[in-house]
Amino acid sequence: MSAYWPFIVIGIFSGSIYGLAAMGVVLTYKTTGVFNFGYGAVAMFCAFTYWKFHDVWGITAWFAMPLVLLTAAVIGLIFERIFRPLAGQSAEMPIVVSLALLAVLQAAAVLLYGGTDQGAQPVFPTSTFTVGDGLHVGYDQVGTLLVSLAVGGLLWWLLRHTSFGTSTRAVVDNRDLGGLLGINVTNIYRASWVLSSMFGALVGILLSPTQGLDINNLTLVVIFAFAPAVLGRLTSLPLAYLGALVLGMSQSLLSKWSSTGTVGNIEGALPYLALFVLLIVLGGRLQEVGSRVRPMTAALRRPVASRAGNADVSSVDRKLTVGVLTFVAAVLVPVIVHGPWLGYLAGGAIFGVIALTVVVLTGWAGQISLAQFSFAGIGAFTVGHLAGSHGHHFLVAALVGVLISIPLSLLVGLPSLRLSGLYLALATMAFALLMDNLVFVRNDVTGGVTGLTASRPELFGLSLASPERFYELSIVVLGLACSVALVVHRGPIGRQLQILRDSPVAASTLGANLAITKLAVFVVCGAVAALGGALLGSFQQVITPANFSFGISLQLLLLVVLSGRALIAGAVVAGALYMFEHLPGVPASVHNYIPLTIAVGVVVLGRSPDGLVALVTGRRGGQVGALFRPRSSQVRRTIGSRVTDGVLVRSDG
Amino acid sequence: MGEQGPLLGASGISVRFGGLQALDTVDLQVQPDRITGLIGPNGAGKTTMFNVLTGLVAPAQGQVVLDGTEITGWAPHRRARAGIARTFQRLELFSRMTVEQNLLAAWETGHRGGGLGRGKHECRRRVADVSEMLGLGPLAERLAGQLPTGQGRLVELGRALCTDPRVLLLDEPGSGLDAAETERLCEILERLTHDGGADRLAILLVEHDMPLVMRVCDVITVLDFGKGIANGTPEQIRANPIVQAAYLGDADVA
Repeated sequence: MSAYWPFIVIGIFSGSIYGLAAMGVVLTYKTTGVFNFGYGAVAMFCAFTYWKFHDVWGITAWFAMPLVLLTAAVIGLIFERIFRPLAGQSAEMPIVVSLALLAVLQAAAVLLYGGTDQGAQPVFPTSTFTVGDGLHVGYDQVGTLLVSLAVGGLLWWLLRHTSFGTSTRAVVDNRDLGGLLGINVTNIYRASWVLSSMFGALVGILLSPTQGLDINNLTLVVIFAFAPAVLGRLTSLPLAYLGALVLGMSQSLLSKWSSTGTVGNIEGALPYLALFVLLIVLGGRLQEVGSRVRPMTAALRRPVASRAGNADVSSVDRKLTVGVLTFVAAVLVPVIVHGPWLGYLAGGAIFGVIALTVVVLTGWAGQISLAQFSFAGIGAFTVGHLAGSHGHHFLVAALVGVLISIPLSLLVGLPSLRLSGLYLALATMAFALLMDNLVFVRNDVTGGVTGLTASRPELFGLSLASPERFYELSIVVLGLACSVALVVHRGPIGRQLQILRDSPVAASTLGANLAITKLAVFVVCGAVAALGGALLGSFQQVITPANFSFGISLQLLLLVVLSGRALIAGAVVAGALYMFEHLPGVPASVHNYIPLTIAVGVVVLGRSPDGLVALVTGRRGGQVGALFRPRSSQVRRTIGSRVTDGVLVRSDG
Repeated sequence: MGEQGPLLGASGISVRFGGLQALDTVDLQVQPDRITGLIGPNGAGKTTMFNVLTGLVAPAQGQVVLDGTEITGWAPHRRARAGIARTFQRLELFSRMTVEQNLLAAWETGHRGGGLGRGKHECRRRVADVSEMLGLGPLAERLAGQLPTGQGRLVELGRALCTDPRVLLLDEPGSGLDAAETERLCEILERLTHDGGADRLAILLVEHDMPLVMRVCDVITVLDFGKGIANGTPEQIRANPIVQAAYLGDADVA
């Protein structure tokens, strides 16, 4: 038995940090209805800030700590300000924006702090004392546990025994009524964001000495806290904390057994596995906070688009014209552009095919998938094995890849599609991270870090080995995919997707089976992504896990939202941006700022479903300004436009 | 098919929301070719009853039967496909679609095959018929979310009709309508049940506009605080002292 005690001590230590993080996530979700996917990035950013203040500039911990907490508070206030106008918007907006903020903080950390793996000095002394017969316990472990318990206790006391707590619970219970009772709802939101960010700062500072100061790693480690947060159904602070302790201990005990390495990185994947399993098991018992309180004023808040959708015949014709012209231009490109440059264009076009699945999922069906590149990876690695290693035909390999993706997307989609978009986003994130940590790390699956190799295929007697031929193939595939998407969007299936977004309740009472429709869309998009991945794999010739990770799926989502998530053109623009990002010869001074620009662009433009494309075509330019306008004036505007509308109609008749 | 029973029947329906008994062993019968009124003061449980009938709220007790088949546990979409359509008190339009698209989507959703292939012509024809009957033709290209409430209610009615229902549940179709629109609604309702007898359409109507209810309904059920307190013809209901007491002081009766 005594052999387990050291692992239990380590487990309690890490579990108590996850507990802090889980409480921070639950706090803002409970009060504001925003699930902060960017929480790990807040923790990471604050940890780097502390490292800069303390380790680099030599400020003592007693000064550096309050300074970092202040930084965290400012971040919290900024987050609050950004999320406030998103209340009552379509449910995927806060998810996308919090993911964009994650990317903003990551990019900012790279620019400000360098972002390479830094060693951080521990906050507490790392010396140990001995308990009983030879159990060594670190002072840092005890200190961390005490801090975490103290902060958790403080939060509990705040919520239970102060007027702040009473107001918060009133707002949690019913946002609108809380406001009517004279509670300043905005101040409550601000307080919860500030508290949550400060928790995040503590988490980051306490984690960094053991986890290392690494931008990606720290951000992902905090995602460990999402599983206990879901265990507490995103609303129970004590359950979330307890769950985090259990998770920390199981992870630590697992590391004792799994040192043989036969099951990939099992202890690293355990939190994601727990998140995934919890989402499946808790299933229908999970509810969204926002969905419970939103309907009261949703009718007022929901701005109605001023354009006449896809019914506007002239606009459809214009879209077709633009599409055809773009395709013709793409066909003519090889006249001017040659050799490897065409290869980059081909890569962008294939990326566009995968991006199109995000347009359909997010822009049309209102679902957020953070696993599209995991599905692409399934296609790519299947091609790597069957076509590359075993010499089967490319088409056979691609087909097998698509077939493998279907049961997996069913597995991800089935439990979560009965629920709201948040849980699908969480499930796809867990799935992508599981693929990264359990499947794509395995040498026998992906060839490890160096990856697999595949040669460019021969199709219908044409060798696609040269960049020219492959470019032609990829624009034909992209053009076909866009045409199919356009036809589907304008027909009955497009209308089905639209009615599920506009009013799921009305759609169901007309006979629409929400779950089946959403599942079908999810599976088809997974299959197309797998096909795109197969193409991408055989194009790149070297297929490495790093190109199909969660991070790439996230980047894809942000690029599509930036470009215009509701438009087919958005997918093409996303492909072009991706290509530009990977073009050689872009000076470092420009290249280094691209991720930050994309992420900030999503935060600013994210509310417009037409994104950058809208900016270019000049439609809905007011969206950008509207982000910074207080919500009350927006409501007035909406009502105003309706009244005018009524008058106009009367004068018509 | 030849049974005498109601087309849609609910018996002993009870629903609790926390401490509130929203419905307490309510019985309701909806006959084909008839307009059944469901009235009662605010908070009497009328909309909750609609939600139970369409499957949006599961009753704690009681049964819902459609044409002899028990459908109590059925999901909303399955009931819709079996022939129950409804409108909403708080409009649930597909606000970012045009009026015509709202109707097309309704037909496609309510019919097998969803307007792909051969269904396309049938779909267009039905949508055109419904548009004409409700006078929605001039609004076809307007965005549903930009319509005033009265016209929005007509679109919801049209959408429900496009699914070719056997039972139509209308939740306050008259509110927000001006006098001319109300008159038109009355004519439409009467035409749907009495003239087009071949459809065997049954209508259940929740409405606060008493003159409208008294004019179009064949039978009326009255709810008060979640309980059914009366059931009968408009004349019987008008003369019923219990109903008068329940409505006493309620401006709606005036």
